[in-house]
Amino acid sequence: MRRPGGVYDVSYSQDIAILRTPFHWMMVAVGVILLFSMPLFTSPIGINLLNVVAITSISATGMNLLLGYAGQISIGHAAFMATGAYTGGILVTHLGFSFWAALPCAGIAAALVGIITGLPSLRVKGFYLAMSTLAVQYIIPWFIINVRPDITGGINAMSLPPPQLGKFILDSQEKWFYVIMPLTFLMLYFAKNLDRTRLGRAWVAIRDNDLAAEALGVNLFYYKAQAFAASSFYAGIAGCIWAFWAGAASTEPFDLNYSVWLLGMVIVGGLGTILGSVLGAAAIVSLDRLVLIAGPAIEPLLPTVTKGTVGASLAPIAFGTVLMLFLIFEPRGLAHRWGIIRSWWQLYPFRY
Amino acid sequence: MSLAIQFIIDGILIGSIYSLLAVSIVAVFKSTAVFNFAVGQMLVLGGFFAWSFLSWFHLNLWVSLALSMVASAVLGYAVQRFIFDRLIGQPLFALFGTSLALGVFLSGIMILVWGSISLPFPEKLLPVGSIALAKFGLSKGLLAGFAVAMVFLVVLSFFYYRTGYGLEMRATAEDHQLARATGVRAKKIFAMTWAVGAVTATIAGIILGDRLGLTVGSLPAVAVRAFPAVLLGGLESIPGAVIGGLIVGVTESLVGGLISSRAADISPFVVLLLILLIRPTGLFGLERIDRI
Repeated sequence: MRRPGGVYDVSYSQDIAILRTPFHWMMVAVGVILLFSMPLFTSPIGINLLNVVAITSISATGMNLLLGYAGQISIGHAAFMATGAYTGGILVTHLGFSFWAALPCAGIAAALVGIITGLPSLRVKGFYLAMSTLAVQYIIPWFIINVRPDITGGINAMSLPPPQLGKFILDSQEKWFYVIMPLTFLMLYFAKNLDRTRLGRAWVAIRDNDLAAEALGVNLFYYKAQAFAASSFYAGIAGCIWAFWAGAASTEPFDLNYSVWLLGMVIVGGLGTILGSVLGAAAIVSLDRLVLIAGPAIEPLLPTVTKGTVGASLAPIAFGTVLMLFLIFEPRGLAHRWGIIRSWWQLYPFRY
Repeated sequence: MSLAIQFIIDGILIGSIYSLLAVSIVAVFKSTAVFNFAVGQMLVLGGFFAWSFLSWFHLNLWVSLALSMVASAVLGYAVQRFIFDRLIGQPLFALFGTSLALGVFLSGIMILVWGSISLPFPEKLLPVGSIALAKFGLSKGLLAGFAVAMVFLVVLSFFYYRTGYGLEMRATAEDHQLARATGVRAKKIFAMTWAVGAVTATIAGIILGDRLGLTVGSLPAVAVRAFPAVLLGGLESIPGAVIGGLIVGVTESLVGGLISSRAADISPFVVLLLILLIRPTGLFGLERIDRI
């Protein structure tokens, strides 16, 4: 990590610290205070947006662990979220678990499904492996809907009670905000550290050249399975939070399209950086909200044929365009752009 | 037993659509190494082109069909020229992500222009009713669709094996650099391959749209079932794609008829997982050998 001139590490603990200078600490403290006082001066819609961005960041981080770190493409991430959502829902409504006990179980259940999805990685890689995630994207919702509709509610959504924290019942966006934000921080912090362990380095080695990694003693199958497990664990947690936050578990929001959106988020945000997952989630979710507002505004400008369809069409058009533009012109994403801005700021007035 | 044979016949007839889509995907993949996830959207768009020429401009049926193919060929050409030309040599996820993004983009455009409700063609293009053959009933529509698909595949293989452009396409698919060394303009051939892929998808789109009505919501999901067909046949083999499509069609029809209609929805994907676990190269695909 780049630091201002004259700041040197004098101990190993400093060398591995994430926050290195007092200025870093100050910035983080100010940021956290600002974030947590948000409900005081933001409208409920703003809080709702922040909640969605936070939950989406968790699942985008999972996607990034798999795609950005381990280099394995997945288009079945939404199915893992659905697994988490329904595991949490079943544990709470049918087995009497509390939300807090069900949350890690949801993550673990999704991780198990993720490992099974990654099984073909024993024999195939790259594109072929992505196909197995496509199969899972169709098979899991099918299982949820058809196998035991008496438990899962079939095609009907499964309504969930709001969880309790002490004597607070989480029934408003503000209350959820104070639960979702710490959870998100925890998950992001964990992912950030995961990327600096042997596991994270093995993933990066596999991403950069799997054959070379294997020759260096990285057990491909073992680490790919772990990548799938970690990635789906994140998706499961995000899915479970999403379901309880929305008050209902349903397979409908977790379709192939949502998997593609998650893939787009990490590409737009920046592959292989935790910051990228957050930036990507924030950018794409905000874009989605923005076109919802812009839809009615530009509708009168278009020919009469398209009346009433503008709102539904702008989101996919905007997302597809943004994703293609990023892949062509800035494949390293917003995180890379942010890094350029930061080093420019630190080095100004010098070029490098 | 005769019931099973009936389902197999239906499966082969329906499978011809999957074959067309699989051929479209394989043709593009062979020469440009891009897996066209947008094939489902291209299929619907091709159908919408034909629909628009028929119901907006009230053109003759055959003229509309010909124009819709020209329009989708232009679309395929443009996709390569403006998007994938800029991504030559990029890693797998970039090509993958771009084709997914293209699919999302095209579906947005289609919702904007044609709306999201199902549009039937103003007149039935394929015959309705069924004919009896021995003890089995053959739906005329499915049979005609099958015939169109097979005729088109024969025309396509004629194009590939008997024309100069076809030879250049095969050469490019075999080896870009060697083809370029012998004077083939690889980028132009890439764009032409995309055009061929888009036209193939359009044929499938018109057949499907005639049977099910054109809609952005559900028709692309039909195309997704061609992906197992592609892997079953092997990514590099066009005859494999045809056979894979027919096998997926038969599997789906048998599972739907003999087990349950709901199980039919995921049977192609179960087949897909089994192929990946048992024989990832498919029936006729090439074994990949990687070097550091």
